[in-house]
Amino acid sequence: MGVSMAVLSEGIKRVFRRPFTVKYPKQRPKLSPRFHGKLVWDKNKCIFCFQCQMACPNNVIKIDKEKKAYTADLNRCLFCGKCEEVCPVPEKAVRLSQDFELAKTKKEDVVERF
Amino acid sequence: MIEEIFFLLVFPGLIAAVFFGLLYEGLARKISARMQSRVGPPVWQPFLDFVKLMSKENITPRNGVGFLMTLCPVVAFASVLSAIVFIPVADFSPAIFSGNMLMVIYLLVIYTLCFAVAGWASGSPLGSVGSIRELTLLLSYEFPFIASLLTVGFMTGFTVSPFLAWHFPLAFLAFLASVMASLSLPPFHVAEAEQEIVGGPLAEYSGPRLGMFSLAHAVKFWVLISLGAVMFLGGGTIEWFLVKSLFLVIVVAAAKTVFARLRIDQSFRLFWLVIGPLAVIDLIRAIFGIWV
Amino acid sequence: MHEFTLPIGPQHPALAEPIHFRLKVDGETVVGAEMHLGYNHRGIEKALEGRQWFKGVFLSGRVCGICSQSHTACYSQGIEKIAGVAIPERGKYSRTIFAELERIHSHMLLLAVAGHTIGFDTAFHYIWRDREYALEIMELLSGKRVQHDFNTIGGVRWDISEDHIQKISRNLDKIEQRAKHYHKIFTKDRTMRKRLKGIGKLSARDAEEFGVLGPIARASGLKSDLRTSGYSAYGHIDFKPVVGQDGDCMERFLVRLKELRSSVKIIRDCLANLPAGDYKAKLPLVLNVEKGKEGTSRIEAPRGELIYYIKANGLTPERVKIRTPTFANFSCVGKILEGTQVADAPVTIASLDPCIACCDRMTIVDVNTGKEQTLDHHELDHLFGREHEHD
Repeated sequence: MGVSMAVLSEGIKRVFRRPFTVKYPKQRPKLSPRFHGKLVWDKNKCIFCFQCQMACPNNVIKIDKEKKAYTADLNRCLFCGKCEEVCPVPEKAVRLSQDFELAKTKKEDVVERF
Repeated sequence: MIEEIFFLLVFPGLIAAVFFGLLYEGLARKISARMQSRVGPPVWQPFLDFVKLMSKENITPRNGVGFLMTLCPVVAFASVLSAIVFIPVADFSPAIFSGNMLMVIYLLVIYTLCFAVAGWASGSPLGSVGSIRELTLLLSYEFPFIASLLTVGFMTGFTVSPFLAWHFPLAFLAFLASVMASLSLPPFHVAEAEQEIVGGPLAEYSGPRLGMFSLAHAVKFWVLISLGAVMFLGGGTIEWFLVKSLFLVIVVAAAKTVFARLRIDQSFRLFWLVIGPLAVIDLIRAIFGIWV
Repeated sequence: MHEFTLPIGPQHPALAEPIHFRLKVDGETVVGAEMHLGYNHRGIEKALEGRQWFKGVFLSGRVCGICSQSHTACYSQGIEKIAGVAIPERGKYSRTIFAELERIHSHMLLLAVAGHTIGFDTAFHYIWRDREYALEIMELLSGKRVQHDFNTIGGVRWDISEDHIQKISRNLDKIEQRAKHYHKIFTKDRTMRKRLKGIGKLSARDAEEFGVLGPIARASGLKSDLRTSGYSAYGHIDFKPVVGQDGDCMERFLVRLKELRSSVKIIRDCLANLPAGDYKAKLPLVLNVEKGKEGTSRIEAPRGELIYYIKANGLTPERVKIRTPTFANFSCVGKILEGTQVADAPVTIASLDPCIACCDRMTIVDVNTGKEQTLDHHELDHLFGREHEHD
C-alpha cells in the first residue's frame, strides 16, 4: 500500500509540473551538435575526388564531373555521415546538416539535385 | 409534468447524462495523462470519439449474430439511462419510493449482462474469454456493491436519497472499489485487457454499435458518480452536487493511474476476501446502530 | 475438457513485432504452446555477403533497433579479429561505455513494456521518461538516439570529450536514482507482485538444458555473462555479473533492474579511467582481408550472447552468420508457458525480452514446408544447438 501511495504522490506532483512532451511543431526539439540530418553539398569547395561516392554504403551519391552535378538520393540515405567523414577538403564539401524535416509529397522530389 | 420531462430529457436525464458522462471520461483521461507527465487528449475527446464512431460502418463477423450485436448496445444504453430516474439531484426526484435502490442495482446489472452477451454474439474466441471474465468480475464486485449501498440504505429506508456517510468509511471504500470494477478501470480492467485478449467482448465491434456501447459506458459513469455523490457525500444543491461529483471523478482518475491490472482470479479473491468483508462490517454497524 | 487454440499474433497488441504463437488453452490455463517465426525476415545475412567491410557494419547495425550497437560492435570485433587489426585502448573504453548505455536503454524499454503488459501504464510512462536520460547521452555522443552507427572497424567514429563527461555523469546520477525507485516499485507494489511473483518459473536445470542466455539465464541462477571473459574494456574494470535465483518473471525483471545500476557503475569506471590517445585505428578506406580467413566474435548483448561468424573473401565477406540471443532464448517458450494462465502468457513472453527483428535471421524449416509441426523441447534443443559454453 505504501508504494501505491508513493506512486500516487509522485503522480499528483507531476500534475502541477509541465508535461515532458515537446509540443512539436510549435516547440522545436533540442538537437545535439553531432546530429546529422540532410546532406548538403558545396560546389565551390568540392575537388571531385569521388571519395564520398565510393564510401557511401548505399550508393546514394552520384557525381557527374563534366556537368559539375551532384545528386543525392535521400530515399536510400542512411544519414550515416561516411561521406562527410571521407571528404579530404578540410572545410568539408559535403556535410550532413541539422535539417530533419525532409518529407515531400512526391517521391522524385526526395532526390536532392545540387 | 414539465418538471418530469425536464428531469428525464435534460437534467439529470438524457442530455446531462450524455454530456456529463462523456465529460467525466475526458476529465479522467486528462488527469491520468497529467499524472504521467503527458499532455493527454483534450477533455472533449470522448465527444469527438463518439461522433467519429457513429459515422463509421457496422461490420458483422461471419460467426457473429448481427441482430444481437445491434440489440446489446441499445439495451445497455437504455438500462443505464433508466437508472437515472431513481437518483435525486438537488430537488429533482421523480421516482421516489421506498426501495428504489434495488431498481438502480438491477438496471446496472442488465448493462453488464448485455456486455457479456455482446461478447458471445460477436463470435470471436477473444470475445468469449472477455465475456466470461466480465461475468466473473460481476460476481465479484456485485456483493460488496450491494452491501455498501445497503449500509446507507438502512439509514434511508432503502431509497436513493442524500446521505452523508462519514460514519461508514469502509462502505464508501467498498463502493469506490466496486465502481472501479464496474467501469472496467484499473486494477480491475481485466475484461478489456487489450494486451491479452485484444479488447475483450468488444473486440469485433465497430461503428455505431461501438459508439452506443461507449455512450452507455459514459452514462454508467455518470450514474455511478451521481449515486456516490448523493448516497455517500450528501448530494445537496446543484452546485454542491456537481462539486462532489467532480471530487469523485478526480479520486477515480487518480486511483486508476496507480495500479497494475489484476488477474480475474485475483480480483475475485480480493473482492470476496477483503472488500466484501469490509462492506459487511459497516453493514452490521448500520443494522445494529453501532457508530464508533 | 474443453480445449481451444488461442492465437497470439502475428498482429497483437501484446507484441511489438510480428510473431505467431498458438496457445492451446483449457479454460484459463495454457497447456501447450507453438511458435512460428519468419515474419520479420529481411535477408540481412545474404545482403552482407556482397558488401565491403566498412559498409557492411552499417547494415549490421540495422538488424535491430534496440540492440543496434551490439551488432556493430560484434561485427567490427569479428572483422578486427580476422583482419588482425588492433584497436587503441581509448576505442575499447568508448565501445564499452556505449555498450553499457545501450544496455541501460534496452533494459528500461523492456521494464516499461512489462509494466504496460500487466496493465500498469503509469510505470510505462515513468520509465520511458527516465530512459530519455540514456538516449540523450547517446544522441550527444553519436548524434542519434537509435541505430547510432557509433562503432566502426578499428574503434569508434566519434570521440568522448571532456565536456561530454560532465553531462554524462549528471544523467547517470539520475538514472541510478530512478533505478532505485523502480526497484522499490517492482518489489513492493502489491498489484505488480501479484502479477509477476511466481509466474513463469524456469528452473536452473531447464535454463541450462534449453540453452537460454543473458538475463533470463542469470535470473534462473546460471552465472552466464560473457562480459566476464574480458572483451573490449571489461578486462580492465571491476565487474561482477548480476545473478538471481528464483527464475520467475519478477526475478528476470529484477536482474535487469540491478543491471541498470551495474551498468552505471561500469560507465563511471570507464569514464574515470578513459585512456588518452586515438579512438580509432588508422586504416585504409577500403579493407582487404585474405580470402578464406574466418572467425567468430561474441559479445554480451542486452539479451544475452550474440555471435557473429565471418568468412572473408577479399574486399567483402563470403558468409556472415548471426546468432542472436533471442533466437536461443525462444527455445524455452513452450516449457515456460506450460501451466501458466492465459492472462500471464503475454507478461511471461515479455519477460524473455523477445527481439523478433533479431530473431528472424533464419526461417525455421517448418514454415517453409508449410507443415504444421509441433516441436517438443528435445527437437527444439537440437534445432537451436547448444555449442556455446557457459562460464
